[in-house]
Amino acid sequence: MTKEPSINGLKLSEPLIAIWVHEEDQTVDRLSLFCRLLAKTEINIAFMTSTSVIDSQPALCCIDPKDQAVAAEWIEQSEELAGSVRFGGSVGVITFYPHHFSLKLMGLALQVFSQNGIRVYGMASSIAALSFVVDSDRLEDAGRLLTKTFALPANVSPPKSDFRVRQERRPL
Amino acid sequence: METIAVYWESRIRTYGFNLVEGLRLCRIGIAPADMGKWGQALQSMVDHEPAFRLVWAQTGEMESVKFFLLCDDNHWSRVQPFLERHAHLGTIDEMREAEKVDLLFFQGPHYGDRYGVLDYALAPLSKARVPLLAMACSVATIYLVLPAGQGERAKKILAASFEIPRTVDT
Repeated sequence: MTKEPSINGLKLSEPLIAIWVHEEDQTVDRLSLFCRLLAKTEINIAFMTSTSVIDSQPALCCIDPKDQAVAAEWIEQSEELAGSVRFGGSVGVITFYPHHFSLKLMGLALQVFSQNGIRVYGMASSIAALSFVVDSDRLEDAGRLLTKTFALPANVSPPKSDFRVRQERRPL
Repeated sequence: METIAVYWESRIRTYGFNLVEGLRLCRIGIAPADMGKWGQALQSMVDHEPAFRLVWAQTGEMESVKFFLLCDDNHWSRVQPFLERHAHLGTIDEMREAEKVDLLFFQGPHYGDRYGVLDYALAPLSKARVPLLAMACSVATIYLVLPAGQGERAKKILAASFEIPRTVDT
C-alpha cells in the first residue's frame, strides 16, 4: 500500500479575477506602471507572476473581483496600459504547505489536477508553500482532491481563512 | 462571522532581504495535454531532496504552460539528469547559461493581503534602472529574479526603502 505524502495544511482563496498584462516591448516599465496604478487605487495583488522580459508570456495578476470595475476604468484611461491589459475569468488560488522544495509533490498535484480536468493558469512557490491558480468554480474540487492525495494532520486548520486583513491609509 | 484586521505602516516593514546569487534558470514548456504525464514524470524523481530555490509557472492564451525553475548547482546536479531523461515531454532549455541569475526575495506581515507593497518595491528599482528578469508574488513573499551581479545592488536600494526591524541588545 502506498503511503500518501504528508503536508501540514491547505488554503483556498476567495474568488479572484485574473488579469493578463502583455509586455511586448520586453521592459518592466509597463508592469511597474500597472502596479503603481493598483497601489494608487488601493487594490491588493493577491498573486502575481511575470516573465515577460525572458519569455513571451504575459504577466498574470489576481485581484479581488470587487476591485475590477475601478481597475478597468483606470486602465482604460491610461495610454500606456489600455490595450495591453486583459481581464480574464474568475479564478482562485489553492495553496499547500510545506513544499519541501520537492518537485515530486508539485508533480503529484499537477497530475491530480490534470486527471480531473482542472486547468492550472499559474503557479508559484513561496518560502514554504506552493500555490496554484485554477478556475474558481473548480477551487473546492481542487481542495477536495488534494485532501485525498496528501496526508493532513488530524487537527489541520480549515482551508478558508476566518479573518481578513485590510491595508488602511495613514490616519489624519 | 468575518473578522477584519486593519493594517497600516508609514514605511513598509520587511523581515529582511534574502539574496542568492549565481543560480541557474531553466524553462520547461509543457503542452496542456501532457500535463498529467509531466506530473507523473516529476514523481519519478528518486528522492525528496530539495530541487529548487524557486519554481513558478504561467500559461498564456492557447499556449503551452511554461515552468521556470531556479536551481543552485546542488539542485541542478539532481534536476538536470531528470530533465534530460524526460526531454521528450516538452521543450527544456537552460536560459542565460553563461550568465546565470540572482534571486532577491523578502517577506513581510500580511504582504498577500495589502495593496501597494509590490509598487513600493518596484518604484525605486525602476527609478535606478535595475533590470528585472522575472518576479513572483505568492502568499507573503516577493521574489525578484535579476541578472547576475544585480542582486546586491537591488538589495541595497530596497534596504534603503523598507524598514527592517533590528534586534535590540539588552
